[in-house]
Amino acid sequence: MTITCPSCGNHKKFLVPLWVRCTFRFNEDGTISILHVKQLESLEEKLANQNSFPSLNCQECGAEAEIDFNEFESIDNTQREKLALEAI
Amino acid sequence: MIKLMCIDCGNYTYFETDVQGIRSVEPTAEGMIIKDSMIESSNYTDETIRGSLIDIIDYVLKQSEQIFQFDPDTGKYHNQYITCSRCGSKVVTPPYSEWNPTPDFMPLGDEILENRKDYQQLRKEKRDDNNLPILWKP
Repeated sequence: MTITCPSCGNHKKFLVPLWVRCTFRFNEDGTISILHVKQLESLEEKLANQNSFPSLNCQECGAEAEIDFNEFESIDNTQREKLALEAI
Repeated sequence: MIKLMCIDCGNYTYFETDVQGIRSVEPTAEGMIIKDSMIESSNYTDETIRGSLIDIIDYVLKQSEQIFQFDPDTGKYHNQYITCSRCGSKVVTPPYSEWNPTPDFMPLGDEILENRKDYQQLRKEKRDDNNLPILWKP
């Protein structure tokens, strides 16, 4: 699986918004303290739905990232055999 | 000062709400590393969660009438954003109403009569040059 930014070519750092349930407390002095944070969404689902509901963005330029779940899909048989031989 | 209160259990301290936090994803050869996002030595993930929480609390306190939705099953108005952390109830509201009814004023004549002594005292203070007690005399 590869993740790339089609805009700037970044393939290292990305940002994803995730919903969390936040338990908090009102202090006597009027401030707020966070007691617990529980993640509500799974990142796997977010990534799987990236093409229909894009949420993963490039950290450098903010563009929507592109995810290729199987980068070897586009390679034809000859290239695949060549890569396999090279690997051996 | 109590800001929010659960009508079902009386809790006014512990509450829950859902907010969005931004996390960092770094693809590697072995898989992906998911961690807090750091931008210029500040934790952006922490900032987004804390900022969203403060925003939502401010919104709930400001728009106290618009945040409630009627639930026909329970016959109560439910807070759409914040729930009680003790009992899980959604009937969470500011503990006071900002609606102030107009007080019933008494007739002007009665009011003047009632405050006559105060007014006479005020006139006396104004008329007399120095009516302050003498504390020290050389």
